Amino acid sequence: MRSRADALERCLVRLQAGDDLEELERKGIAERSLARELSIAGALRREAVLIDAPSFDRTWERFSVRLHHPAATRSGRPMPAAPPSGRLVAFGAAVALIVGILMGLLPRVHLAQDAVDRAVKTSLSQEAQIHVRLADARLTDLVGALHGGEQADAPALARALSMERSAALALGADVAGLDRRIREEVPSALVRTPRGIASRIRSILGTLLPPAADGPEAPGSGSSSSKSGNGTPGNGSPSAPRQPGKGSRQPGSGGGSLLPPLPSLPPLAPLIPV
Amino acid sequence: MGTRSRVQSTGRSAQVLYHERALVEQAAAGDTDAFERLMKRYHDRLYRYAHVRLGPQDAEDLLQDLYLAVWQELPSFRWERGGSLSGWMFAILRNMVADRHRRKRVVLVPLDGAAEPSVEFEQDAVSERYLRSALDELPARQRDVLILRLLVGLTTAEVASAMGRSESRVKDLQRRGLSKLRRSMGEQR
Repeated sequence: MRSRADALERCLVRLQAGDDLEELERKGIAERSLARELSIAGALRREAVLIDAPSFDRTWERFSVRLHHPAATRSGRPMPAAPPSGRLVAFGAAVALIVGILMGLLPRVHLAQDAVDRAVKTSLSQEAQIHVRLADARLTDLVGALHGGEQADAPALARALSMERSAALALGADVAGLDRRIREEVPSALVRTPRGIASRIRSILGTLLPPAADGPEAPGSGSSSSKSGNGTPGNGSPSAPRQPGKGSRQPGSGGGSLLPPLPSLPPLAPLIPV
Repeated sequence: MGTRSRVQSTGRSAQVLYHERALVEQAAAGDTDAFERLMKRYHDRLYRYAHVRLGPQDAEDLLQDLYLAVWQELPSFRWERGGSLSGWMFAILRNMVADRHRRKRVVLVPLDGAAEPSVEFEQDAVSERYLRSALDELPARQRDVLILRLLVGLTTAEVASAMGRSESRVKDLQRRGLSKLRRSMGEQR
């Protein structure tokens, strides 16, 4: 069967080169039994001539629009390897790993572990920054509520601010900028806030606020707050969720937030014992 | 497969292949002019395969998609992996055609305006329409080998590369496909 396939291929190559079938038969190159197959092959080749491809220039002109579209950007991802090569690479990697272990190279795994640690730290840092931004948004909401006559929401916002700040701090974020904004913006907003609400906010934020001067805050029910219409409205993220206000109600102890500090994260444990 | 062996197997001159290699490298580096020249070389053959498998309407559209795919994937093409740029491109094209067939049932159409030309078959005339319908009835691999080898005009090595088969396997599929065509056309006569 193999020789017949090879003989057919040899004849096809001769025919494609311009030889004539009858001549090949006469010379004994083409077996008589292959004549029908060769006729059909010739017919297929003749049919190909009837297919008129559209002009390349026209096709390219249409394509060049797509070529310069952002969607044509190269992904840079490698083509999937052919299956046999992929299996070979996987097999080679497995053998290399086994040999590496046998040769006592396992301690070098700590290099990979360091990379994992760095990735985890980067991830934690990103999460910390998210908490900083959320705290910043809560601060904006708080100041806006105090200036805008919505003092009833202020304690819940202050607790949310404190929680986000604590979370950011626990994840190692720098909150100096946030603390500075709290010191600069909240006291002035508390000036016309009813005393009860102001003192609750002070107790929630604790030492994050400078000590209160005597008696500037509005006494009583807060009716005066409606007069303080020249405050800046909050410009925080409108989509930021408001906290329900179920935080701690303990009085301030002067140590900053009254919320229990989040436990500090333990150091990253080695993934593979060395 | 080295360049020299490819030259022998494909029957193309070394100069042509070296020039093609240079074009591939330039196009892979982002040179659209080189890419245009490269595609121009293969345009007719690529279209012929798409035309036979999808018909004229879809063939040109598919070619646009193919050019884009080749442009995006060209940096990952490796000569060392076996070889043939045409085989690589036709492998992509075959996948795209198969994908279109999966998405919609494609009805193969006879050649435009073909007025039932005939095939000389041992002194008998056989309609080319029969030939086409018999071709469509073949098992997929045999059909693809015959289309790529005889209608598109690829070498055995290029067909082998496009189909991920050895050359001897391609020759065998070719023989079996032609034998089956002969039998089915014998029945139709």
